Amino acid sequence: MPNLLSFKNIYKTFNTGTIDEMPLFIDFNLDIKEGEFVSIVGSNGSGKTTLLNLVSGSAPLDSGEIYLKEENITKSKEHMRARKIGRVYQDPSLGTAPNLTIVENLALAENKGHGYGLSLALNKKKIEKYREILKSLNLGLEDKMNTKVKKLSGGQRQALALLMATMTPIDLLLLDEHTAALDPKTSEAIMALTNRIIKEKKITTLMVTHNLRYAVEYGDRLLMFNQGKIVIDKSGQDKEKTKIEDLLKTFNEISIECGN
Amino acid sequence: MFPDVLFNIIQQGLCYAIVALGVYISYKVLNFPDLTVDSSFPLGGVVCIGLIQVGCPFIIAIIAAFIAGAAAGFITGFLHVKFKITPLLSGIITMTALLSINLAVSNGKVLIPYGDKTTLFNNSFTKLFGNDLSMMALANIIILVVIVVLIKIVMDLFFKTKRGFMLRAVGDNEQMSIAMGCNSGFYKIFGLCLANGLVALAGAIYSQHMNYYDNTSGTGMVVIALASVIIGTAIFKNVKIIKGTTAAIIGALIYTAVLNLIIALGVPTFYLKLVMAAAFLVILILNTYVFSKEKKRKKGDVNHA
Repeated sequence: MPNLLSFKNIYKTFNTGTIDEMPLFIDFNLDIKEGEFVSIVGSNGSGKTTLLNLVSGSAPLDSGEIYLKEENITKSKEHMRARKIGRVYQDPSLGTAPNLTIVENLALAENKGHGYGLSLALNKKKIEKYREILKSLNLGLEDKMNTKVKKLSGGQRQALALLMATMTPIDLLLLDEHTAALDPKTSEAIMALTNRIIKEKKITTLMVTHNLRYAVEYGDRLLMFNQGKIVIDKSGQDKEKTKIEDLLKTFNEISIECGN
Repeated sequence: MFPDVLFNIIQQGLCYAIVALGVYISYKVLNFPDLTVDSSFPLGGVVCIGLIQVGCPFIIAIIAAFIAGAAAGFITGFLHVKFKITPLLSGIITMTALLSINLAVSNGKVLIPYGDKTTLFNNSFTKLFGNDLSMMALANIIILVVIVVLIKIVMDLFFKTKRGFMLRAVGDNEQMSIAMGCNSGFYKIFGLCLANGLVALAGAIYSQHMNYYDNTSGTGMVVIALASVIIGTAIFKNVKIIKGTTAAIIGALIYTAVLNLIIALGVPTFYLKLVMAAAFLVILILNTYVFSKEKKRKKGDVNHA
């Protein structure tokens, strides 16, 4: 199967030219296959989120190339990449427009990639369609369709953000610790919903998480990052056999090395 | 005496309402405090009178004023988006530069009368109302109401389109708008063009209404417009059927009435700007401590997690 996403010889240094200069990625290479659901774990500063930022275009890289569906996207603008890449952030307020209602947010999401012209954004047919989609979430959002999103709870907003990120056909979904700001129960629900959407739509996914259990339970491939390097890369049966204890062991070994 | 004062307030208020509608786009929708307004208002006036004086029909002159204002908004937006200059500074730069441009267009003149040229308020329609002052005021009010309502309807329709939704999203959560594949910088510039276009259009209409162009007419216009928008949105915060555009118009009428009332109480007119600033301050304080009281009480039920 062809690689959906490839990182080729990536270099990324923070604070270049200062005493705090910190090289993160040095000749970093990674290939993600089409349809793979990859969980990424690692301590703070290991490069997980930076990797997502490099893919989405919200952070520039020093050198190297990134290919999405064999197209070099290294130089394309963030909003252009966003048409084919969905992203859900840790902060539930980032993925939705707070002063727009649920339906208004969904209307924007549905139109992603088609341009925003002067035709009416909403009609009865669309609203009915959104109602059905919201019903399938089982969060009662279908009764709050004209509520401003800022009045929703964090979990509801995150569910909506997830729905919006995956509403149009996308090549890649980036999940940036998207359950970390939620309470344990809501976090479980959002994670189950995430898994359902990814499986239903067969979306290639990179999920950064601090929750080792999620990393083990969900996804077909598991990566552990440390200081810009991949220290664990397991997929298939190899991954299924992996236990949280194994991850913790490696994690602790790394931490001792780093003197934490 | 009394109806004349009232008619005056309505006419002035409707002129300011158009400015408020423009500032509603920049301040309320785009969340961009735009100071260009103080200069794009007289820019509209000077472009309008310049064209009318060389024989241009007033409708073309008004459209040209809109375009000139849009160009001013474009510059402010471009400075902000391309060079990452803050909204306030981008506005100040354009506003200051336009002071010279306005003088250059008017050949250095500070006051220019329209005389008996055909204008929006001096044409075959207004002549139907005769020479009676009250009747003339009525004609002016009809014209202004039609224009304000027309602009409001077009704006309301626009905000229902996909582009209108996206403009609101850019002001509300820029990161989200980028995630929706939209070039947020383009939308900011576009919104500022519309906003300053409307402000200049208001300036063109205002100058025709006064029957002269005044180079200093823009001073304090930002305050008038912001006060109008803030009063309107504060009053109708919890009234869902009142749209933001309607709120801005009503806010402009209220603010104009308040200013005129204070002056009518005997305050010398050179204190007008002081009165404007003081009234704006009172409005801001009321907005924080009185109008939003309910919101604060409600905070407990709203889950901000």
